[in-house]
Amino acid sequence: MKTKILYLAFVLSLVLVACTSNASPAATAVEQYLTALVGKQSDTLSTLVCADWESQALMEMDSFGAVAPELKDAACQESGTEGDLTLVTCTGQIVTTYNDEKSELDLSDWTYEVIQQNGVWLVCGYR
Amino acid sequence: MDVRFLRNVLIKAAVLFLLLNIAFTACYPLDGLGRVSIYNSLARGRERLPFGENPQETYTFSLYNLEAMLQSLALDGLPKPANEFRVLVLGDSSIWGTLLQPVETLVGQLNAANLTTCDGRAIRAYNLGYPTLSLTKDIMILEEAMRYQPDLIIWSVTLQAFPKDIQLASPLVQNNPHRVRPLKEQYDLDLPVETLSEPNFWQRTLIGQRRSLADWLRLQLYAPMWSATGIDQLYPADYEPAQRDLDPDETFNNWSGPDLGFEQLSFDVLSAGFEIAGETPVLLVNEPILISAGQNSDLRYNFYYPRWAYDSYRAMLGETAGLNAWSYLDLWNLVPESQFTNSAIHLTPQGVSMMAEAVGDALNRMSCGQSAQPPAPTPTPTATPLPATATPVAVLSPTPTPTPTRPVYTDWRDYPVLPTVSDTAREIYQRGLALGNNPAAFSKVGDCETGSDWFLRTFDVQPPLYRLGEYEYLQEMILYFDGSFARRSIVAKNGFNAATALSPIWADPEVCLSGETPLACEYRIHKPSIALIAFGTNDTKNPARFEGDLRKIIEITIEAGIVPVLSTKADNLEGDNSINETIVKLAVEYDIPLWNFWAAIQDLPDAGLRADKMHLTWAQNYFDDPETMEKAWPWRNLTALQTLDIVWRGLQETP
Repeated sequence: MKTKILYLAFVLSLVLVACTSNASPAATAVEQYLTALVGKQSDTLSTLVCADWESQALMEMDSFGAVAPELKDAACQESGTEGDLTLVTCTGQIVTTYNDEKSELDLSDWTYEVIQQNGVWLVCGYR
Repeated sequence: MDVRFLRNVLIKAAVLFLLLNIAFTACYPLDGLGRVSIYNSLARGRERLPFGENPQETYTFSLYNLEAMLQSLALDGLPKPANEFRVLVLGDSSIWGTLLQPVETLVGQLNAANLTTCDGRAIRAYNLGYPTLSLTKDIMILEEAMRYQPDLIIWSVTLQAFPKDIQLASPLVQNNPHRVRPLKEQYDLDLPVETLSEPNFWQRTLIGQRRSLADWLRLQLYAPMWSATGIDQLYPADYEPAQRDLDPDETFNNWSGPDLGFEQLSFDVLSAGFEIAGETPVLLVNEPILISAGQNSDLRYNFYYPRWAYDSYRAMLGETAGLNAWSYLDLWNLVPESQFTNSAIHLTPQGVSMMAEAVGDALNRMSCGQSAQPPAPTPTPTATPLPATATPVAVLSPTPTPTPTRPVYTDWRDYPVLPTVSDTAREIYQRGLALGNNPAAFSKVGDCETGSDWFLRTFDVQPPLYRLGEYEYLQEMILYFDGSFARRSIVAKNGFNAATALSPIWADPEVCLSGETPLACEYRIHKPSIALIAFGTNDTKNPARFEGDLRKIIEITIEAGIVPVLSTKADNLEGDNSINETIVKLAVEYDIPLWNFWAAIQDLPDAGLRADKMHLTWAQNYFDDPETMEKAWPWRNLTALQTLDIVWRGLQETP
C-alpha cells in the first residue's frame, strides 16, 4: 500500500511539473521583462530586450520613477507569429501607487513582439 | 378553575401573539411608531437630538429610530410661521454641543443674536447636529429634515467626517441601513452598504425589535423630566482637556503623507448633501480646530490631524467648493487654542461665540441673497508681497510688456519669471498653423502640479471663481483660450515624469493609437499651438536621464509646430538644483520661452512649499487679496496666465 501511494505521488508530481512547464519561452521572456520593468532592475532588463529597443525599454522603466509599481495576476501566452516575430499577449495589470493613489495599466492592451537571437528570447517592443 | 378553559386561553393567547408578531414583521411599523410622540404636546420639544449614555441623570439617551428622534425636537412641533427664515444646522458633536447648554451652542447663540433678513423675517436656527463624525450620517438626517422646509442649511464639517472607510461607522448609520441604501442608489455614492446587515425575519418580530420598542417608550417616558428640568446633558466641572502635547505620529487614518487624494475622502457624499438640499441654499463651514503649540505640534495640529493631511484636506475642500460655486466658510483657525474643551473640535461658549459671529455674518448676507464671503478687499498693491525675481516690477506689471530680446544671465536663478518670445518661437508657431494647429488651444504637459485641477482649471469654470484684480487685462487671453484651461491633458497626470510622456504604456488606450506616446496622443487630439511643459519634480530620482528625456519632448513639440514653454519647478528635491539648471539651459539652447516659476515664489513663506518641501501651498485664485497671495498656487496660476498672455501676444508679431 505504501509503495502504491509513493508511486501515485510520483506520477502526480510528474503531471504537475508537466502542467507548469508548458509556457512558451517567448511568453516567459515577456513575463521576465515585466518583472524586471516593475522591479526597476535595469541590468536585468537590458539582458531581456533587443539592442535596438534597449533605450526605449530603459526609458519605459524610468517612467515608473515616481510611482511604486507591482504586477498583479500577470500571465502571458503566445498569440501568433509575424515573420521572425513571436507575438505575446498578457493578462493582468501593472498596479502603480503614487501618494497612496492606485491606478492600473492593463497588460491586455498590448501585444509584445519577441524574437529569438542566438537561442535567447528577447522582447523587441510592443504595439 | 376549569383546566380546559385555561388551556384554551393559553392557546388563544399564543395564537394572538403569533399573529401579532407576523403582522408586526410584515408591517415593520417602527418609523410609524416613531411618529407617535408626546413631545410638543404633553411635553415640550427638545432643543437637540437625543444622545447620551446616562439617561437617569440626563433624561436622554442614544437611540436609532431617526423618526422618533426628530419627533422629539421642538422643531417638529412648530408650523413654519410666515415671518420665519428657517435655518437647519447640521454637523457633529461640536454643533450638537458637547459640554454646552443649548443656549451656548452655535444654534443657541445665533438665535440669541436675533438676526433678521433684509425683508424683515426673523432668522431662526434649529440644531440637527449629532455626535459621531460621518458625512453619511449628516445627509441621512438632512434627507429627513428637508420636510421642515428650511430656507437655508448650515453644514459644519471637519476632515474626520470625510474618510470613505468611516462613513458607515456611526451607530446611527449602522442601525438605519434602510435609509442609507436608497441614498447610495440615488446619488451613486461609493459606500460599502453591503456591509450593513438588514434585520432578518426573526429580528423584525416584536421580540427581535424589543430594544427599539423599549427605546421609543423610554424616549416618551423621559419627556416630562426633560420638559421640567431642561437637562439633556451632564456638565462636569472637571473634564480631561483636549490633548496639546502630541505623539510624533504623522499618519492619519493609517495613511501617510504627503497628500490626501480625492479618492480617499467622501466628496461624493458631500455633493449628495447639496443635491438633497436642492434649491435650498447651503452654507458649508469648515469648523474650527484646535491648533496646538505643544510637543510635536510641528507635525500635528492636534490629536486628530497631522498637518500634511489637514492642509491637503483644506486645499481640496476649498477647491471643490470653488469649482462647484458652493457657499463656503473656512473657519479652521478662527478659535484660539484656549477656547477648546475636551476635544480638538469642542469649543467653549466663548469659542462658539467667535464662530457664531462669523457664521452669523455669512447667514445675514446669504439670507439677503448675497455671497457668503465678505466683499473682496480693496486692492492694496503696496501690501501685496511681490515674489522675488530679478526684475520684480517688470514681471508683475499689469501691462503686458514683453521684452523683445532675451537677456543672457550667468545663473539660472536670475532669469525673469516671465518669458520673452523669440523669432524662433514665432517660426515654430507659423509652421504649426500651416500644419493645422489650433491657435486658440494650448496643452498642459507635466506632472501632478500641472495635471491638477488646481492648475488653470478655474479659468474655464462658470461662473468665474477667480478675481484678477489689477491683472484684469488677462481676461482677453482667458476668453481666447477658452476650453484649454479645464481640459484634462493626456500627458499631465499624477506620477508622470519626463520619461512617462514618452512611454506608450502610459497612453490612454481609450483615445490613443497603438504605440502612441501620451505626448504624441495629446498633440494629435488637441492640436495645440502652445505647450506648457513643467516636468522635474518626479524626475529627481534619476536626474541624469532628465536632460535627454526633456530634449526629446522639446524636439517632438517643435517638430509638431507647437511652441514649447518650459517651466522651472518650485522644489529642490535633487539637492543641487540641477534640474532647474537643465531646464533653463535647454530653454536658452532651443531659443524657446522660459517661465521661471521658481523665481516667482521665493519670497513667499517657506518659498511656497508645504512641509514635504515638494507640493505647493494652496489658496484660491484671488489675485487682489494680499493674504491669498501669500500662497504659491495663486502665484502659479497668475504667472502661468501672464506667461500665456505674453507668448500669445508675442507670437502674433511677424518673425
